Amino acid sequence: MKMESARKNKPFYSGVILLIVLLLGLSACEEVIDIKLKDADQVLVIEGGVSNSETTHYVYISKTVPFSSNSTNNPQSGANVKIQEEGSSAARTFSEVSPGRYRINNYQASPGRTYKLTVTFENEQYEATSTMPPPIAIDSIGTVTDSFFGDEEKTVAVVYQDPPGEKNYFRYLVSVNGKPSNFVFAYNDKFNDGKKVQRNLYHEDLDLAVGDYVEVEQHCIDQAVYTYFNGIQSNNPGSAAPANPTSNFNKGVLGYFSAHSVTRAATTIE
Amino acid sequence: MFVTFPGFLRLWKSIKREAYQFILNAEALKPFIVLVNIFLFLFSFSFAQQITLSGTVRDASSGETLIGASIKVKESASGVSANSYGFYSLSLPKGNYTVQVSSVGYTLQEQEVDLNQDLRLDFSLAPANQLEEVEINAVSSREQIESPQMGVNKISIKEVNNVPVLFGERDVLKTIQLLPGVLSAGEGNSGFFVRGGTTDQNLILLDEAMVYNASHLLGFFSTFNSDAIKDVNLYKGGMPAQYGGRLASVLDVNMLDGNNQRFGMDGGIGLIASRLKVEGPIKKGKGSFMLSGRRTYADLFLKLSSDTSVNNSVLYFYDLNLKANYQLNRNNTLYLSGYFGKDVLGYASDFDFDWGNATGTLRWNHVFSSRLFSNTSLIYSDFKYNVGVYTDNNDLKINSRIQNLNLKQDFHYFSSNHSNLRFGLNLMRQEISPAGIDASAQSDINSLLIENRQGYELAAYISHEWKPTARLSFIYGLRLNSFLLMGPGEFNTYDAEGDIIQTRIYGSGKLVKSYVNPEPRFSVNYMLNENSSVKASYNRNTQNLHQLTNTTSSLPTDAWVLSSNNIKPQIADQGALGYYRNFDNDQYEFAAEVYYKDMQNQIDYKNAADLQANEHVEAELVYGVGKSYGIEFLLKKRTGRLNGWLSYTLSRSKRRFDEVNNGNWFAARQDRIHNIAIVGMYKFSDRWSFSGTFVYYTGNAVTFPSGKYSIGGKSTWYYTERNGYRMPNYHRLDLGATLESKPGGRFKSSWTFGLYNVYNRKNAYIIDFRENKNDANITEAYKVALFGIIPSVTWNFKF
Repeated sequence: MKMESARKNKPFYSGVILLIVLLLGLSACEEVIDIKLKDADQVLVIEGGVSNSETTHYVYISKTVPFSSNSTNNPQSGANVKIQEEGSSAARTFSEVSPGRYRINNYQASPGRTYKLTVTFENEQYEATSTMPPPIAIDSIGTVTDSFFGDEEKTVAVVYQDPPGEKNYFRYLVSVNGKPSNFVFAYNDKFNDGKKVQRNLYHEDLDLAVGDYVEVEQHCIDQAVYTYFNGIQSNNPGSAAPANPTSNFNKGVLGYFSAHSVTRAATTIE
Repeated sequence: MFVTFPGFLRLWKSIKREAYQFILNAEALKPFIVLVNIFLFLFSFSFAQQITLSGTVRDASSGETLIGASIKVKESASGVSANSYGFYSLSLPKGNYTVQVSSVGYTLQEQEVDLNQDLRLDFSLAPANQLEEVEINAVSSREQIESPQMGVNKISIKEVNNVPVLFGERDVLKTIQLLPGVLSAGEGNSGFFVRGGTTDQNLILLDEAMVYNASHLLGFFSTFNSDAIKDVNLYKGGMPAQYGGRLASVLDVNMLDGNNQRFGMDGGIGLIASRLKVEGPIKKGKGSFMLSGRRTYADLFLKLSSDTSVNNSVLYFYDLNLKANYQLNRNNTLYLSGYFGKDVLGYASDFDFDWGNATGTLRWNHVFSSRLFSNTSLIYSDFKYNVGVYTDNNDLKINSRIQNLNLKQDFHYFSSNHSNLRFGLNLMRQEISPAGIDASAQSDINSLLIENRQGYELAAYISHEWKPTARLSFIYGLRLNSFLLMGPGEFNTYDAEGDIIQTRIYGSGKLVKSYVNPEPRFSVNYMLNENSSVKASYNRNTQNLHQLTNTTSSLPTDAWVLSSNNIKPQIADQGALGYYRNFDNDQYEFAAEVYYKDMQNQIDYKNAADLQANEHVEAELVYGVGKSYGIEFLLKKRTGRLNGWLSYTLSRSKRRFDEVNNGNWFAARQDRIHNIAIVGMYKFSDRWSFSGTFVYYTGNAVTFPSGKYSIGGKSTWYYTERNGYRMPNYHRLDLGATLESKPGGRFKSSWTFGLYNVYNRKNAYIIDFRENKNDANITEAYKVALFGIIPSVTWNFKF
């Protein structure tokens, strides 16, 4: 399905990009450099989520590594991971299926409910809570074609009806030809409350071509999880002060715990 | 002005309606009125038996008034300098005198005067023969030794025109970045930082009108077309009491009045833009006009493209400066000046974006008596931007505007040759229309209207320059600034979490919040001997207009906010000490100044703050303190075939916010420790001259990661401290050469050649981090450099 071209999401920045392309196309150059960065003390990272679309859920526990390290992966074993629905006395425990990867089976999470994740590790207990918003249907999915100084650019877009009178937060996962991309797409409805919204999932490095099969997962997330992902996508080269995204865990842990509802759609790029 | 005329009328009406509000608040003025009375009483004794010689000093060939010209009496060693309208007043006992009038770059004029009653005497100085010597400084050579004013740098347009710059587009704002204590906001950028302050802490005035956004094309060019400019003063400290409203500096730019003797034209064709200036008398010797324009033409090349979306695109900016003056009679002169500038950018038929400033100043100079000079100014200033997105189902417009109407009354009272008094009032109404969204019904974006905000700034000042002995002189004074935030509107008060704790609705003309700040100003000069002096100063400045930006480049869309129930006025206290020395018959000047500045109510932002089209933008701010300190050296060679200067600044600038960096002090982005600039100009022959500049500075303080981790399979950076790293040191050499046409004849032309970044250094503009394209486990740093070596050529003409 072909969709209206609309570079509307970030009108300011597209203008800026246009200017920079025109003006600096002259001589801007990019090169990899060697910088000595400090090695900070290792900090715990917890990433976990429950959704309404699966009954198996995962929590990943790791620690930070020096920037110069050859692997970003530093899994941590031996944590005790529990989940508990608010208002229920029963907690369920995750089991570690491989280093740093904790799993729970047959656990049904539902919209409107609040979940608390508790992680006990190295004699310290960490907590985060998240409330699952109701799912929002994807009405359609399609391809947007933009022409930018002769270059055609393809973007996948989804259309949904935003529920009026409430704040909604979204995160999208995009995979291309079965391969998940790891770009962050987080949005709120600050400018679109109650509208039929066409959301263009544009990322400059997500080079889509005609014939690509693109699957989109729309997560309805709560405000704290949006704040977390918005914090990640706000750290771009132009930000004056990049900072760690604000986590919903306590005690200075990095990462997040998200209870989200999921709707899916897929299309072939035209 | 025509475009903004309805806005102007509306402002003017509301000024009248709300003027009465000020009277209610006039309580704040009481101490000031008492002070003026005391001063006038103190001066009354010095009136006795003196006869006053007064008048105006002008350039004989153009009729331009000569700011700062020196008027001395041979017999009595007393002297004064002309004020910013060329007016002087000198009081002497009865007698015969030889009056000497001089200004750098002009032939000294002597006149015998038999003084037995008050006398008006105007002088016209002939420009000195330029071939004998190249004078580079418009400042009277003795001024830095003799005046108690400190922290000031003056730039002559000749300097601006000789310094090589990017794309050959000569630029006042880039030239002042070569002065000590002034740092460039980035590669090729016309934005600047003064003594550790931010760019929005500079007060930029063009013929007294505030210029909100002094740059074009995201900062690469300034709005000041040097063709139209007469004089530039930068105050980094010891701000005279007649200026106020910003913490870090005052950049006071005066436009040319226009030639009142004959018509003339000059212009130029450069890589980026073309310029044309027309000037001439309205009535010879009585009045003149000047009209100067500049426009870029890069977009003309877009038209050549066969791609319809490209040849429908636009990208240009223009500046238009105009000024007219007319001398009604000996005691009354009117001046009208205006500036209009705009950047326009559009892509095909689906996007456009434009922004620009407009200013207008109407001034009336009135000589009440030979000792009392008055200037009344009505000033309008405006900045706005418009964004439009036009696609079938997504029509959307964003408009934002900030404007002020300002009434100023300044008096200059020449009480004696050792003493003069400046006092005045300033009443300004400021109105901000924040960016809102105007979307069509079919659009998937909602229209959003954010309330306007209006504030008044009422200031009164008095300042006394006093020279009790031959060696000792003072300037001391007080500026009393009151700020009133007015309704109508809904005003929220936010707690530290950004949640609303109180909402109040105010009607039109109702006071929401007011702040009164006395700003003491003091400086003293002690001349050690004829060629050297030491000075000290203290001054307080406050600021009620704040610009919000959390990006490294300043954008025209950066929001402005007024002080409010949430935002307190920014306050800076600055103390400075200086040593000044002239060498070798004033050929060389040396200055060293050390300063310390303490700043309160500084503004920073919460993580991932949402500053665009946000009616709760004040909930995204955090408040803290700052300090900056440093030492500045300037060695200048003023005359001769080879002239130029050497500037070195050693400085720090730090900030502290409870919510940032665990509440610890951190280096401000503009904390550059070492900053060196070398400027040289060499007159090789009558026709050839050469110039060069070299700059070196410590890299900006920046935030880099000190670790990494994986979220959703993506490498994510772990930050431990704000601005704990440095960009690489920056250095660059630029060269220029000018070839003048053969002397003789009325038509003159010249070629200017420039080479920016001669040794093609790839100075880092941005450093960022990413996963390696081939192996996502490996992460790397990369830099983006903007400009390599860039040649330029400009052809100029004049007749």
